Amino acid sequence: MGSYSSTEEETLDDFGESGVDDLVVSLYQMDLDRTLFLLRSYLRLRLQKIEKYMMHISKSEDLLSRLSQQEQRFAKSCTEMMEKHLEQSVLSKLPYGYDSVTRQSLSSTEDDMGIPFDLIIIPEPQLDTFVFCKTKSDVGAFQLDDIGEEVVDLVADDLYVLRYKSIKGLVESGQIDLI
Amino acid sequence: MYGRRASQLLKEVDSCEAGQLVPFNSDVFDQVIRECNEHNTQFQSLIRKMVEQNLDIETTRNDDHYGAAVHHLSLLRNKRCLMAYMYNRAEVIQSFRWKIGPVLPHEIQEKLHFSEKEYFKNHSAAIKSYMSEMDIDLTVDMVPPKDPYIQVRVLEDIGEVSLGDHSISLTKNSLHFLRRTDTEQFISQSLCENQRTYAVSAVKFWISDMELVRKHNQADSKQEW
Amino acid sequence: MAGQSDPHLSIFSPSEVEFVAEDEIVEIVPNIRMEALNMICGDFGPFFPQIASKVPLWLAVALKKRGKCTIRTPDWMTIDSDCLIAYLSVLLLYIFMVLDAERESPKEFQPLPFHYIEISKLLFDHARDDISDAYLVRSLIEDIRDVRFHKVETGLETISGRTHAVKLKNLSAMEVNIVRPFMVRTLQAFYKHDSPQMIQQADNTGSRPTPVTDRGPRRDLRRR
Repeated sequence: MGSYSSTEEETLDDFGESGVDDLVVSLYQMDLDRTLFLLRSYLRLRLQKIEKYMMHISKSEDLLSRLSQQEQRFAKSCTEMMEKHLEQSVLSKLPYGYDSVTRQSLSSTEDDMGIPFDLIIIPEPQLDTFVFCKTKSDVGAFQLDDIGEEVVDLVADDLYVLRYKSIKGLVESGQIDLI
Repeated sequence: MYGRRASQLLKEVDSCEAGQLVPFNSDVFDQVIRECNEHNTQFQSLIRKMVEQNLDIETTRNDDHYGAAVHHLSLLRNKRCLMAYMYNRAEVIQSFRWKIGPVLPHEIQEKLHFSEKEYFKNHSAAIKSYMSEMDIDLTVDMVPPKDPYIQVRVLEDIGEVSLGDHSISLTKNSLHFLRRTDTEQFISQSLCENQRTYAVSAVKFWISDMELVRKHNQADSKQEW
Repeated sequence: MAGQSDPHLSIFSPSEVEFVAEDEIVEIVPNIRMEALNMICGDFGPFFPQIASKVPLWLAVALKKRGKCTIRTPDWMTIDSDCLIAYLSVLLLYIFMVLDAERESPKEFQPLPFHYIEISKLLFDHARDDISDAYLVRSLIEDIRDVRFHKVETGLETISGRTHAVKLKNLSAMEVNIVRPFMVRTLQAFYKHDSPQMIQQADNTGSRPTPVTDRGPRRDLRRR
């Protein structure tokens, strides 16, 4: 996409030189502006998601593999910087044994007197939330929960508010669009 | 009561409007750190006492054991609060890169811990290096583009004007379609005026309406939950 | 985008919704001759005077602003089309509803383009002279919008702990964007408090003896 838009940028420059109608130039300029805005918004939103869930993403090979090389580097340095920041502002001032980012304390085992040992802040995306979505084709009776008590008939081109977790598969297979 | 000061820090973060920052509370922060070290001293001395009495610290369930547990858990709670305090502030601070820019104004700088200033600088550098790798500036173009050309009426004879690659003649009362950025100087000197064929009040009407509904929603939700 | 837990990230600004709507295709009648435009967003034209052509709304508005075309009003915005009669009947239904409080209110949304608010706004702003009976059409669209918002509001009242899916047939983009934060938070809160774990806890304290399995039938915003 990046190379596509730069090609058009060059085409636009050519137009300017060869004296093509100003009207046509301005229309192509608008097309280019719209495309660049979309491209920037897309990349920006992905970066902001990485910023928000950096530690969660860095832990998972599957999630990391969905990022571009540049995004992976960004996620890595974000995580390192956040850890460094927490380290020098908080952890280094705590007593020995309590100064780890990922563990509550040195003596923490699986269950630290009722507190799970890795109960330290790693914000994760909330997948168990409701989303607005639109069906592309008839899906038919679709089960929303594990036990089959919640069944909804998904008809083509209808708008629903459903839990993301239950329709994740449909989104990934392209049968349903988030809106 | 143990852990109260630490929760005060979180209340500060919580009572702040979303995306805003209050000054780093170093007084309370340092007190909580001292509290943590005090808990550790108490914890260690209770454990030592049990060891001196030749008690098995793994299995013994006496007063000292429960005392040690209270100190241990209080310390963990304080740690979680301190971490949450710093983390939540860091999230707000990194959002400033998008909203404000790479240099923070003095009044925001004042509110930051030294490590937070450093974090902001490092974080901005990471965004910058991503952008240079991708060869695209993501800090511009934050709102959808509109038609960059506007129609202007020339109010005074301006004459031949060079606009980038070409020149045009701006004579009194003539109408032109020009880039908004090119016309700014003439409009500000009242040499040209923006020809608006249709009122924009409609836009404002729709948007202010939406804002109202949104505010209404927010107000509602605060009451209920 | 809407899959985010953070309401700040998942909401679009009105201008972003409008930006998306500007890709909708409308019909123009050019008054000039122009070569085909091969753009990133698609190929349009060639254009000939008085020959209708289909282009995205943003392009139509740009040409209109430069005095190069007229924009054909979409069918659903014209007074004599069947569609408008349907909207008028909605209004009548609405009046009946107010008169007869005992009667069930109509919960269906009439089919309208997904971007009807944005499209009509852009056309009123930039191509008002191309719309016949512009004043009447505009006030009708505003009425329709108000009625629909009222329906959204009453629909929200029916959400309960047993609402696991909400069907909003024909709700438009701007309407979705406005109800999204409130709707998602409401459903989420109900879902959380109605979850088996929560009820289990309540059971243990003996304050709420609801059987976990009885979750009842799904409720729709609209009557099925």
